[in-house]
Amino acid sequence: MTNTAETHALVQREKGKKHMIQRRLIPAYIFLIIISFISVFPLLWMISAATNTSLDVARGKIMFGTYAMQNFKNLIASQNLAGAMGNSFLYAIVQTVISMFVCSLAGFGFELYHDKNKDRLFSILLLAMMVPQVATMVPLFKMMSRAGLLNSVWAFILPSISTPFLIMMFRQNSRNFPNDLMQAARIDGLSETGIFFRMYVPIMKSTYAAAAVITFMNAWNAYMWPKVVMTDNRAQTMPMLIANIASGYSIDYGMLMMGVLFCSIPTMIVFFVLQKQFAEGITGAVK
Amino acid sequence: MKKISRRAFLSVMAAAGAAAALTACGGSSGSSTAASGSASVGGSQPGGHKLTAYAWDKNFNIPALNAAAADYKENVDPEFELEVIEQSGAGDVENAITLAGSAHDYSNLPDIVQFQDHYIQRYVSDYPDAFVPMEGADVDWDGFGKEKLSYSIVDGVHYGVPVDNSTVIFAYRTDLLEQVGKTIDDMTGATWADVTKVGEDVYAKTGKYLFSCSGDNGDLIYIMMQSEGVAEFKDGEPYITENETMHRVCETIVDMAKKNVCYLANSWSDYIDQSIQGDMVAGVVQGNWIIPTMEAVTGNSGKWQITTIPKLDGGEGYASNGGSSLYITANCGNVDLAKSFLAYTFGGSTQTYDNALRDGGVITTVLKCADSDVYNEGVEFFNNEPIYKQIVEMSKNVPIIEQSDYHVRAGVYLTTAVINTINGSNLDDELANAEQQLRFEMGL
Repeated sequence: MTNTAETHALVQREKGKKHMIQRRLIPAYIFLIIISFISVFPLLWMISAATNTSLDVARGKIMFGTYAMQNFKNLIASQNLAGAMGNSFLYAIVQTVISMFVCSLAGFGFELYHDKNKDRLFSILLLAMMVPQVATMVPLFKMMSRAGLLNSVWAFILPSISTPFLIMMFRQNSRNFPNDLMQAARIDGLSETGIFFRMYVPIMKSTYAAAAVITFMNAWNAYMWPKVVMTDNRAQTMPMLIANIASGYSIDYGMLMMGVLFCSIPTMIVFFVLQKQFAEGITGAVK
Repeated sequence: MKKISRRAFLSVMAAAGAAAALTACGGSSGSSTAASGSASVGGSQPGGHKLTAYAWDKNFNIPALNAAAADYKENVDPEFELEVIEQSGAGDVENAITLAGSAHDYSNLPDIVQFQDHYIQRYVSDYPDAFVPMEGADVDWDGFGKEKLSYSIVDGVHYGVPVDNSTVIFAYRTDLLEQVGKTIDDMTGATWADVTKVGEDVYAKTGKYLFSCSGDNGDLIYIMMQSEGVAEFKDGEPYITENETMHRVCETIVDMAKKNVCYLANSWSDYIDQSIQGDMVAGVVQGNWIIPTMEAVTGNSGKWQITTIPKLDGGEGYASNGGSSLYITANCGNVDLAKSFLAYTFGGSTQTYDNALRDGGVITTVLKCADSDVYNEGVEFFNNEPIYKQIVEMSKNVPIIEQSDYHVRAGVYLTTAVINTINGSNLDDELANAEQQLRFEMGL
């Protein structure tokens, strides 16, 4: 009987503690709900604006409307949506694939074959991150022009296939790469190229995922450089299309938001699909 | 040996990656693409029938260019083709010229660019090699509104052909004026003091401001000053503290804002979205390109009429704000074709301007083109008045005043001075401060 009473008291105390902990968490939850709302609200507003008329959006209507299909029809009637989406996908995927290969190879080489000279070279590489994009715009434009590459695929790819940030990311994350495993592979007769493709790539897949998300988003959202070197209407990307809709004396905000919605969906999908690996890759996890 | 060579290979790859990154440093946000090879953009080839042009605004300027291209193809060159490369705004064209000029490489420019009137003088001065003068083109320059044409003349040489007419209109809601016992005729030739009185009555009776202006630019100040025939600059220097007209204009705006006659919007977006499309005002004073924005509020169709701008001492005032012209670039390989196209179409073709008006709402500055039936038709939104003809007539009277590269910056400083005065500061001090800041920015 006594035991039962003691057990009951213990359970009650535990329940009380739990309640206390839960009560303590209430302010934190309130704070997080507010922050979440602030973060999500622009997205919600973008979606609701895409369903309203321009005048409704201008007047600050937040509730969902019934004009989505008309906005979509206006969008495809006035802009080459399919072409811009296709171009953006093509450009972003090609840049992502090539950048992954080049930057990971560079990061692999810098970390796993490092010596003093390579470390010095890497320091210079990091300094390059400090140079703003606009400072290189004119020289890069001149280079592309003299090489006869303006309005060609290479004008887009060459300046972006290797970025200091991605090389640094791969190099830093390569520090967790198991050296013993590499030595064992060498003893077993695996070549250095084989080590890269058959060991490094699978082991570093989280880093690849994080780098892919970053590169894809950068490529998808790129505006300034493509605007400089690619001036053909047929090569228009989604950010260019959005900028065009947003120009002029009278802007159709409903149509604009429909365009922004289409522009946002691919990056959201890429992020959500690779979310777990992205988080692991950013923290430097190695499988 | 084998191992060393592979290591060397990977080391070289690392170095190559670094080198590529260094080459492209800072270019990480640039896109890499696999577009469909080389594009056909750039200057035209001699002897060809195709031109390329940069223009912005799919609902305004681009339909005008397309109308011109169709006109030229139908009546002059059946093989003619104009490829319009859409830009997101005037800034894109300015950036393209700046980049090409800085690199001394114009190979990526199209044959023709549309350029903002207020900035072209500076760009022709900074990059004289970027533009081809219109000398020798078969254009009747006397047929244009003088003020509009003055923007594209540099050192007495014509560099461009105007696209649109940016004459300022003062549009009133006649139904609201009626409520205070006024008509559009009462507002024509009135003083700003008269307008202020009417505005007070309108606000008291209807709760609406008489008109609005954007608080982040100097449009209203510029419009009021130009209608008086006085500039913000004199001999290349700011003309503010010693400018009696400027003082009176700013005082008037402060007075109108304090009396709820003029709604001072926080930004351009607020000006357009809230005050005009949000139906907060009984009037709009702006370049006529504002008309499509007003027409978006379809419920007010038939209630509007336009007239000229008031003046400080009464009489009809005229001004021009915004607008653009077309210029031939140094990359044009077929200058004769470009000149012929611009001269035939925007130089005075009724067919071009009729279709430009129908398709994009672009109004001509060529005075004879306003005699067409299209220009003389009544416009339902504006009480069936032939407003396009009226606007072209108004454009004849816009006074030419001194322009400056610092026009926009002057507007920002002056508007800040007005806002600070509304909030309690002394106008003289604020204008002195505005002039000092502007002089500093101009390096004077």
